[in-house]
Amino acid sequence: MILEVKNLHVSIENKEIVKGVNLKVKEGEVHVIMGHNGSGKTTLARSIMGYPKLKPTQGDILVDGQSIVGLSVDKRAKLGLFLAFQNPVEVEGVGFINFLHNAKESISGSVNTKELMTDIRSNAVNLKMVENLVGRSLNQGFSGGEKKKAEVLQIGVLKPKIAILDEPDSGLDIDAVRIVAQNINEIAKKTGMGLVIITHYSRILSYMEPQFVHVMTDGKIVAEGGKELIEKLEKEGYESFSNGSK
Amino acid sequence: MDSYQFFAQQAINEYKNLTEEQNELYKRKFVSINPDAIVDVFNNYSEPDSESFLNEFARFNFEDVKIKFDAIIGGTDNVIVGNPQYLHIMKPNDIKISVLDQKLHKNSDDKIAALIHGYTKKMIFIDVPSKAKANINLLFVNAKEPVAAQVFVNTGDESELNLLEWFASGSEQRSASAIMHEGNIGKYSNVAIDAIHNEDENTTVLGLSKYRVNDSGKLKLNYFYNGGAVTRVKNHVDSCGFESESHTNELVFGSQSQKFDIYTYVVNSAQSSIAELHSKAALANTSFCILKGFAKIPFGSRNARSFVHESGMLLDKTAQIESIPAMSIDENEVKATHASATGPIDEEVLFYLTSKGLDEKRAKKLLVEGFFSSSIGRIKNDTAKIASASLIADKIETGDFGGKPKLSVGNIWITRESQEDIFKGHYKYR
Repeated sequence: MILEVKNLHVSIENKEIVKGVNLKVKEGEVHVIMGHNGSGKTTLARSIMGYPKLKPTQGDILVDGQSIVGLSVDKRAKLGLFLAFQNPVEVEGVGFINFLHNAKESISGSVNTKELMTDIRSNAVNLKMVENLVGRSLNQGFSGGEKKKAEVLQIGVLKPKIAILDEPDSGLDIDAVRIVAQNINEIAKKTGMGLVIITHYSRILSYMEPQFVHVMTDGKIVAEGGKELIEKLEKEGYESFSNGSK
Repeated sequence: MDSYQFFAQQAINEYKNLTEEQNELYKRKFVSINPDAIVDVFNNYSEPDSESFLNEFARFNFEDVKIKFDAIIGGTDNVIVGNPQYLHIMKPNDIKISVLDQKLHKNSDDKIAALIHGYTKKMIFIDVPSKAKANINLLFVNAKEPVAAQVFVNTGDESELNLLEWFASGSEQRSASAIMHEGNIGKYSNVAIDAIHNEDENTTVLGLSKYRVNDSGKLKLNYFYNGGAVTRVKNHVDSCGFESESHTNELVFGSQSQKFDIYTYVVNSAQSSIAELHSKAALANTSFCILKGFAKIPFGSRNARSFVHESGMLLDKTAQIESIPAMSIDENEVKATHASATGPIDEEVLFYLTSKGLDEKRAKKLLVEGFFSSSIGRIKNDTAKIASASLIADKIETGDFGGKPKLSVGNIWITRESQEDIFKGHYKYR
């Protein structure tokens, strides 16, 4: 799968947030989008996934050359896109396993429950999540760290072709950042999926091998490069990129 | 004159003159029922439902679920299956009014009381002696004939009763199911009453209940309103004994222009008593519901605990919920809180679920099932619990109600009864 974002402009209530972003992600690649608060990273991620309130005003989003702008959110997921939420919502009464069963069945057409449970269990063990997921509602009562881990668990179970992870490291302690990063790496290696990691911080990236780093400020990608960009950001901060230097 | 017949005739006359809603607090907001039309239903029906019809009705409708009913109660006839202990069904004319004395609802309390008194054809007595244990399942059927009945529940001290009441109908013309309850829960006894309403679209559902819970007695009331064209009920639960408990759980699922008027009054009239009310309503397709939960703590009920919690989910823009929780607290040393939240499905939640591959219909189905899961979990009778879940799954899928329950519940996730203390979430009691 190839995900292409071409000159994408996105507005909310007549305010333009994403201002002409270009991005190309292939299966197997690891991309990182870094940027300060309010730079448009989350809006870009949610636009790609089709959040109804975010309408592109210009440009296009393509999967394997076909525009997906007109597709519903679930159809984008069925194509193989996945968004790990920055703030996963809590859903009362919807069992976590039941939700995963529904999601898997929606994407794959059918589910072998035994295989699904095995898959959930092994991912949960790898992520060092508590075992009693079965009795819990979706994200309800989960700690911040558990919510992030639950998003990664979903990636492991649903096996998308390209996963966008919106700040998978925020709110995690040092050990949890390592565990989450290692699991993302492991799943990506096993499935060959592409990754887009959105983050403010470089800590999670010390456990990963991104090939492409994009710096976003004020709704635009202002710098692109390899892992060396992360070091530059650490030293100089986002301010040095504000003038559009590449 | 002491005969019920005379009393009933008086009640019909009184019915005509009574105002529809007398409660000052709620008379501006209630679902109106045409008094002449409902009288017409009771006066002009095609034919009585026979014993053989009732038997066949129960066999056909519950062949999948296999709930074993101890009695099937129709308008005129009834069927008692086996020899259930502690259950007695009588015709009102066989009973002297003086015997019922304080048990009858007062006509002046509510117009519906007068109507049911006027047209009652069955008096059902459930009398569980001290230290005894009983499981009783009742099926109420209105088909060719409307049903009007009165149920009297009395449990002795340290007794246990699990009562399931299933309300079904197979009417091809306008019909009614009108049932009154009066209950006295003995000291240290434990009573669970599950009432599953799955009447059809031709049926008007009327109900009145009044329960008193004595010292250290526990009463769990689980009402599931799924059926009926119009439902109007008034439930009154009084935790009147020291350390008595009442837990009322109401669940309303509406579609296809169904109307519900659910008024529940919970009282703590004793020290250290508990009276709780949980009401949940999810509505779609031009349906309408008024939830009127009222809690009263009179002066002197020290250390009483009470809450009224109402929540509503609107599945589309045509549905409407009026949630009116209220409390009247005259005692200082109590814990009491009320809460109400009604709204459409959260767009962020819908986005979350659809972004994981669920189409919108499936995501909404999951959310409705989730919304009801804890309430369904409170239903005591396991088979009725699963059957109720199947009614929810069916209604989400088709919008229909009043059909045969199944053992297949789709994807519904039944959660166990929450042990969480609701006061933990209240700023005053954290």
